[in-house]
Amino acid sequence: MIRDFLSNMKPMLLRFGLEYRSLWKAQIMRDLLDRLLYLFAFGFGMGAIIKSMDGLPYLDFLVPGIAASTGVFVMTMAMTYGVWERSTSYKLYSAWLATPLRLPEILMAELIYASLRTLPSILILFVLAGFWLKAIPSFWGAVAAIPVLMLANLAFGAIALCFTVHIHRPLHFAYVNTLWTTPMFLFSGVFFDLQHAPALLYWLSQALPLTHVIGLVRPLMTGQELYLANVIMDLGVLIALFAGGYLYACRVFQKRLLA
Amino acid sequence: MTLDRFFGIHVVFYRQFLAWRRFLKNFLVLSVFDPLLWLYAMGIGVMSMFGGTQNYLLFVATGMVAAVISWSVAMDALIGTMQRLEQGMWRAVLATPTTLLGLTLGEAAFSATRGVLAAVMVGVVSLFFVDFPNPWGFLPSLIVIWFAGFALHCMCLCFTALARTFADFDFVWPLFLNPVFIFSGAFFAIDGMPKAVQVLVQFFPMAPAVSSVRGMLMGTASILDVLGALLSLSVMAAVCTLIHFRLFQRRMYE
Repeated sequence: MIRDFLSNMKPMLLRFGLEYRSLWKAQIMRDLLDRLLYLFAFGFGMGAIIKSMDGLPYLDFLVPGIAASTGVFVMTMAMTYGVWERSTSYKLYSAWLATPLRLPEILMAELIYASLRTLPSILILFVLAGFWLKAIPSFWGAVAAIPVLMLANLAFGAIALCFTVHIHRPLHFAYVNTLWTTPMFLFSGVFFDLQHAPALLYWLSQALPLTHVIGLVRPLMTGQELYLANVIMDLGVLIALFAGGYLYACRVFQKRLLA
Repeated sequence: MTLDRFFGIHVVFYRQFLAWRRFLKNFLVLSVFDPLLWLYAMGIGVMSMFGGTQNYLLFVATGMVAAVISWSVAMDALIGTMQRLEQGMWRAVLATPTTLLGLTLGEAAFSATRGVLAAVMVGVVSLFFVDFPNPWGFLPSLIVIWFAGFALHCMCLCFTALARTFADFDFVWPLFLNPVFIFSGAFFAIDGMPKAVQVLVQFFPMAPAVSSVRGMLMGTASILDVLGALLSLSVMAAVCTLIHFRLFQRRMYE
């Protein structure tokens, strides 16, 4: 069964690969430039006011957060507007489902493709931040952070799919950005240390998956201490969100496509 | 007769209002919620560092009132205009006595007015938790905000006139809009930036608008500062109107 699943995903991934070949320039431009902009604007703008954060130079503090937030934006866009366009305007889902492919395989291929798509942007970000700005203290930590970021992307994508399956008008996707993506970007400790935040904000941030990604990636990349209990909890949250979101989205989307 | 006198700007304005009425609720929620989140996050984040000083919150709030328009104005000028072009709405309007100039400027006037509405909402909400030294400065600052919205709309139209597909906007967003927004001085003083950046941002609408609105709300702006900002925003709008008028003329008629 698993072998069928994997062999069915192969043509889907090939299809996305072909799509990427013609879109890669615009994709990297869009994914990367925004991140770099936030990195420079806040690294130098805020960095001029704040010299150190949580015992780190502000730029060192910022880089892992910016890298982790790439996935939030890219995955949410791909899994909301992207899936919507492919399933309604272009009617690609009906076409795919007319072949031996089944919905879980299609959605899994979508998730894997979109999360791999962020890889070039993250690598370029790391190279710039590491070798030019000298803001990544631990090289091997940055290497180890990449699989964590990929897992995080899958989790963000699965959550975004859960929104998509319940949305029936494209206008409402704007609410996903306003009520989910932006708060997550602002309140997950990308820009400031949550230890000193008010208690309410601290507990709110613990409910946002990006906090757990940053909780893993920042210690890895800056060489802060990493506790086993924290690692297990953060990884557990991400895996649970990915699995739960994916299964839920598959079930509801299946019903919706048949209805 | 009246149509000739205003190129039909007022007609297009009214048409845009009618079309927008049913999105009023969505617009109010979306355009107010996002800036308030930024305001809260940036205020809290930095305030927690400096032990509760209100200075930075005041700084961000005064900047945000002006910067909030950029979202809705840019959305309308880029994606909205492109949609109206592709759906044939522009061709339909141009078949009436309305001219191309009336169409573009009417839409720009409406989107600037709508931006002012968003700015009013953000300003009123932030009055509750920010102590503005000169809250009455909010009223004259709405005029500057309107001009900034108008200029930004005209500037964005230059990109729309050149865009062939929606995918082309992927380049406008990170290369033009986000820099204009982030380097507008709403979040941190541009004085700390490299000299080149400081000079460059003066050629885009958000930086003069943010600095003069901030001055008015703080009560430090002189009348000359405000008039200077209005003048530079008008020049930007005029220059960009010349450019996008020429480009659209080529696109629609040739």
